Amino acid sequence: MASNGTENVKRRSQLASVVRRFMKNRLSVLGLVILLFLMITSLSADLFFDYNTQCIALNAQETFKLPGTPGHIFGTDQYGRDMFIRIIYGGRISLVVGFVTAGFALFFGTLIGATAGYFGGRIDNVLMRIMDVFLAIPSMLLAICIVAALGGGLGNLLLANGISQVPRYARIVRSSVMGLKNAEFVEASRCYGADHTHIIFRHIIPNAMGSLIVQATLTMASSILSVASLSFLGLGITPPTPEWGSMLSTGKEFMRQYPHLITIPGLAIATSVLSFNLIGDGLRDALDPRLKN
Amino acid sequence: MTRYILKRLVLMIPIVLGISFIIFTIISVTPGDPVQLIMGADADPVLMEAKREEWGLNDNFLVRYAKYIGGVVTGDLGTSYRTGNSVAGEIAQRLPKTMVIALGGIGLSVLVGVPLGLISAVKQYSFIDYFARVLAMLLTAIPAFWLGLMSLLYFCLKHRWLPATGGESAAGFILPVLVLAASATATQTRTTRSSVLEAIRQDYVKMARAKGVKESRVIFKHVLRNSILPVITIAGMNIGVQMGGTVVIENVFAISGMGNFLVNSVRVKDAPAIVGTLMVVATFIALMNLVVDLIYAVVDPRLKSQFTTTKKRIKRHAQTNT
Repeated sequence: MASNGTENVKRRSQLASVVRRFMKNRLSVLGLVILLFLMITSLSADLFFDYNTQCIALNAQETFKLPGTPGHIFGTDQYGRDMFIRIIYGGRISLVVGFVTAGFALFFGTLIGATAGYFGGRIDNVLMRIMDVFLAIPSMLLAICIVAALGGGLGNLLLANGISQVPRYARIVRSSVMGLKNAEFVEASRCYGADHTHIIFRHIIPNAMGSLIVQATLTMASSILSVASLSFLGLGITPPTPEWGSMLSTGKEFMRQYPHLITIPGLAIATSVLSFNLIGDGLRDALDPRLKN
Repeated sequence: MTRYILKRLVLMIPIVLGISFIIFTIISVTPGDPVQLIMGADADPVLMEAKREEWGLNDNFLVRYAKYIGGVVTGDLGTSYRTGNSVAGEIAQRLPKTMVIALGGIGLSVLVGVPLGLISAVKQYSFIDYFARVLAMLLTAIPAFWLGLMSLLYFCLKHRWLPATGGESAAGFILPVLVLAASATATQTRTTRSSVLEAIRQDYVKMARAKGVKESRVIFKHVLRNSILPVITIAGMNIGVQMGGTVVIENVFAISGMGNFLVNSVRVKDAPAIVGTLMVVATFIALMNLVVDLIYAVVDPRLKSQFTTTKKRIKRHAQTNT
């Protein structure tokens, strides 16, 4: 029991030191604050706004109001819909995209990478050559093809982005599994009769967690960008759903007279991507054992 | 060296075939009928059936794939359902514009990103370092299509300094290349900075300084030479990203390149056009990666050995020993 106690203390202090190092990085904390703000506003949006009456019920007199108009801080669009409310509801989609894509890629990438790295030989060869083929197509083009085949809509977009990200995770996991599968602590566990799943998921994967978490944060940023790009091309989420990329795409027509229709959604995308990137940078430094003081 | 290049070229074949198979499968087995998408839902069923027969859509999809690959081997990429022209011709017509934009973007990102990252690392914590880091951070976060629209708004519509349709004249390539290069420049700057920072702390740099080597020589000979590998790697990885980025850029600036061709083909599930475009793009990327690997060997003498065959190595070894 005593050994158990010390293990707990050690584990907590390690997490605490990572948190401490992350908190020292002011820019990363800023990123975290932005992200929390985005999450809170988009999750609690229903408490403050009523999308049906404030955006869907068209109002001919309220079209093209400039930002700063009383009642519409971000102005209104060509149908008189309030831009602020649409941006907040658009945030929901972007956050879902970020987290689900990263989760999907993390899950399947880990599964494939761990299988390939752990068993090696022919399994490794077959799996990784398939991954190579996927990696040889730029992720944006692959996502376009998958969306084209399956059709637009949020679910298919998530799938398309997720699939195009899987190979990266498979590579990270595979290389760390290959590096550790013959390590002494793994051998020790094997001697105790642990099965493959136990060894992979309890002993090997936790060691790769650092780089996986960093990669996941970056995936969240890049998938938000990619979904916005697809929607902008008209292949993703289509109007009237308030998605930032498709808002930009429809605002494009009126951008000469009413530039706020494209500046505001663009700023929303840039801010959310920036927040994920800042968090990712901070995590990378905080989890890097070489930078430990 | 020649042997190595040939080996790499041969290894490209399975990758490109794999891509064609995966994309062909994705496009073919999913619901959605190209005949209906192109001719409209209320077209004459007899005509539609005739089209289906003409395009071979009634065959099993493996048979279709085999036929398609049979054509590809002889250099025939098939006929686009949408335009009715040969896919190879359509691509050849559009390839140059896309290449100019993509290669221009890569070139610019290296020319700006590497020096900026180098200065930023050498003068760490200076004003220029903060400037470079903030710039890089912003450029990675800003979506290319938004940057494109904003620059279109400012430079073309407001001030009329540059043509709004890209790709028609030389001036029409300026904005597309600049916008495409933006995010690649950011990654290039960041990689160069961190790689140089790592090299600058090494003992051999201290040693070089201690024995009185001029600072410029320390930076260019000792530091840069040793930190260049990740920089080249990122440039190579950016090629793929750029090829994906051209799709959006071509849409923003209304350039009739490969990206626009792909998006239009994708809308009607024009399988030969989609698969053909992606095979060409993948071949281009693979070729560029080969070039990157050859540059590695030029830059890093340690890696040169992998290009010589074992036989030659043994021979050389024997010569040096005698």
